[in-house]
Amino acid sequence: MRNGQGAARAPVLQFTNCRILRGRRLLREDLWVRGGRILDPERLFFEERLVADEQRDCGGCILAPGFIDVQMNGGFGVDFSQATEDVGSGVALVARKILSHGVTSFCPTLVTSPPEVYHKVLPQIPVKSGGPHGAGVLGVHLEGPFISREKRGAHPEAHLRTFEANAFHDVLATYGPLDNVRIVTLAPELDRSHEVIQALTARGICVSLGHSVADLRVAEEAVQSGATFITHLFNAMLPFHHRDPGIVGLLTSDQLPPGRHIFYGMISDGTHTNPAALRIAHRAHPQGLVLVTDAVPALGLGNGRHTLGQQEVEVNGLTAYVAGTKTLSGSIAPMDVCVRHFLQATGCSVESALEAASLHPAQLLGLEKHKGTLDFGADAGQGPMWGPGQPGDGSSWGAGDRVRMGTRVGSPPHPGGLTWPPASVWPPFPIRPGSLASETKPDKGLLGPCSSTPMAESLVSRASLMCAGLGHPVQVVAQALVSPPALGGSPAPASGSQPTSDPDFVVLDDSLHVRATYISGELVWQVEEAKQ
Amino acid sequence: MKLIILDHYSQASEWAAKYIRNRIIQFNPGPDKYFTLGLPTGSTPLGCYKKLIEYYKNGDLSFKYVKTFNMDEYVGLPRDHPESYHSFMWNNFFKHIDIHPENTHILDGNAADLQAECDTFEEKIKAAGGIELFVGGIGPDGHIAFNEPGSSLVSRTRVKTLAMDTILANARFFDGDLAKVPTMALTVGVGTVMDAREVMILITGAHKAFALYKAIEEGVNHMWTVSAFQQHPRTVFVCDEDATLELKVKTVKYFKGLMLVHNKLVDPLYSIKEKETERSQSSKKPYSD
Repeated sequence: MRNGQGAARAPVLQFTNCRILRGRRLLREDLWVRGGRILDPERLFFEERLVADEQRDCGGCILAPGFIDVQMNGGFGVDFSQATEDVGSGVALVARKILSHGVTSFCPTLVTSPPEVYHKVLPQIPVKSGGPHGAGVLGVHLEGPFISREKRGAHPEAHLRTFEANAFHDVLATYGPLDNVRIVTLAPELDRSHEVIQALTARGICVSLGHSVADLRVAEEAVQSGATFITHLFNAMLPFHHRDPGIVGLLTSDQLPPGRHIFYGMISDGTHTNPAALRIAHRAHPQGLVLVTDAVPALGLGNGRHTLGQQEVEVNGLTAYVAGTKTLSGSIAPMDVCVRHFLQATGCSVESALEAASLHPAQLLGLEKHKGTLDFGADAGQGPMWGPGQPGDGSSWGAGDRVRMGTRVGSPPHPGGLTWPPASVWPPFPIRPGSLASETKPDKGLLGPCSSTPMAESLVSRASLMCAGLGHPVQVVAQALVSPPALGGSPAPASGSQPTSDPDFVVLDDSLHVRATYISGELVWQVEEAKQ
Repeated sequence: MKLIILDHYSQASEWAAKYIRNRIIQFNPGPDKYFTLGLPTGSTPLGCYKKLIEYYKNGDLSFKYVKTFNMDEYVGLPRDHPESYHSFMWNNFFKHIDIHPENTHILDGNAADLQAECDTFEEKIKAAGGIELFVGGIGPDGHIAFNEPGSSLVSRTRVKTLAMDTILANARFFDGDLAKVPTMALTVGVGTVMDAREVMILITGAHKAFALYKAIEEGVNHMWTVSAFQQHPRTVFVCDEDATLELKVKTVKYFKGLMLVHNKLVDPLYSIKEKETERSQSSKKPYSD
């Protein structure tokens, strides 16, 4: 896919008559793709002297970076937390199905489970590139078991754990190898959590705060230790109090490390978060908002009564109840529905709504150079559009670090919070004639080794597991009142680089309904009517 | 010489675009017969480019068999700098039309050997059979391309040092920082443009009025390089009312009186959609002096 030789000969695809989400704006631009890479059409024109081999009319649609769901417990009858011999095919099924939601990569999420479940399931969910087979797997999100007893929500109390004398050793003993892990949600008030947070972030794993009774000071210390995310804000944490705003206070804290701000997940399905709460969070800290589905296995099953594990679930539209009761059984709103609801509930711009499901999660995971954006490389001088000083701006030009899907390095995935374009000044004038074009272009340098290496697919037998599962824990909705505080964090400048985004994108109509989904420039899903 | 006077910038731009459109279509370009077009950058031609793009999008005009040669480019400015003339042409014209990249020519201000680059450019023009129509704009000091006051009127493509006036005027595109403004450029010479079979100069705005006066009412003078085109057998000046402010009433009235005749150059307006029918009625000859 990312093969330099092959890419040079691959056909050039030009998506025309569309609006591309680029740098916080919807631009009337064409998107040029070749061999799984987004091209700079100007360079193609002047340097390679090539035109498109194929043009595709997008009918005026919006092209947005593919959605990234960093918290998804299952769907289509599959429960990721269910230890079976064939977790792989369950993940694959969900990965394929969510293409229709515009999701091009996601983090399968495991709720609190006994160690043997982690040991069995984690090796079966390798990091994997997306493609026609389904959305990419960015790594597993482990929600628990190191969480608060009081705020455990539906997590099984029996399996909750604390950090014992050996702190990080206990974490390893519980989870097993962390190679496939991308996010860990934990409660920072647990003893020795700072050691664990530091050890996890040192391995490039994102630490999220959630299911916790931490006060603001403890939460701030956790962020200082490396935590960057809040798991479903408002839900399963202390309610906002003006003398101690708790974890919610991180949105406007002035005690975060310089240049850092916090990201927070929001379930914007119209049920699990009251629209007023959604607005409060969004207005206080828009650039940290990450839309998550937190979907349970009932997602995508359709209306009616379903048996999930030992639980009977009644699905009616976007709500799933424990059958015969009014108890919510977890969220089942697809990501595109969440995006539309978020747009409608907050009255934000279309751009902001789309970025909350793409750019922000990519930034959270330190992937913004390749995912969550549709940029073709930081040609110096194009910066002003991203001018410094607008927090949360399309920071895809910035450096971040060298974390890529499947190739994690030994530093926190997102050390600088938001990153920025390199001062956006073209190299000091005069430039040595002839040299610039070849030296500063990203094309060549990023090829090859970046490609994520899909590990061997699950080796275990492909036993059926469609309807397996113990039934997902009921999501507890905690609604908290918050008064909008003053200031958000600000992004830090970063050193220069030449990112080129993956051409993973979703084609949306004006009302943000998904028309088609592309991964690596390849059509992987489209609405039925478009197929004719 | 023709002097076309329109009320406003937009009409002047449209007239120029229509003229280019008719010239290309009447030339009937094809795979063995390319129409060669000289092109300027700057704010003046923007309206004209917009119209040409519109014609292309409506299917009235194609640039498939058009070769373009640009007048100039800064020295040392990266090709992809937003103020480079490569970027200008890409963003304001090329990316919107069906021209093939192989058929566009812009001087490379980053070439290792700048003079060789200029000589090659002249060769390429020659190889393309010379320029059919050179479109240009001028500066308030009457410079055509980067042929600043004092440039030889028989000059060829070469490296030029920019006049302080030009550097100051350009500073607004470089964060107002004089240190960032390129001080040298590659430019076609006055002689290069003179060799074109036809030249069209766009002049709009009151700030160019004195230059227009110098261009057409005074003698040929290398301090106002655009005045050289008095010696060209086919020159069209297209301007708006504001640009005529320094002209004699007599001059303006004379050329305005000719507009009825000159408008026949753009009316009827041809379209490639009707190319076939056009050929059968070959009697439609445009006005020519």
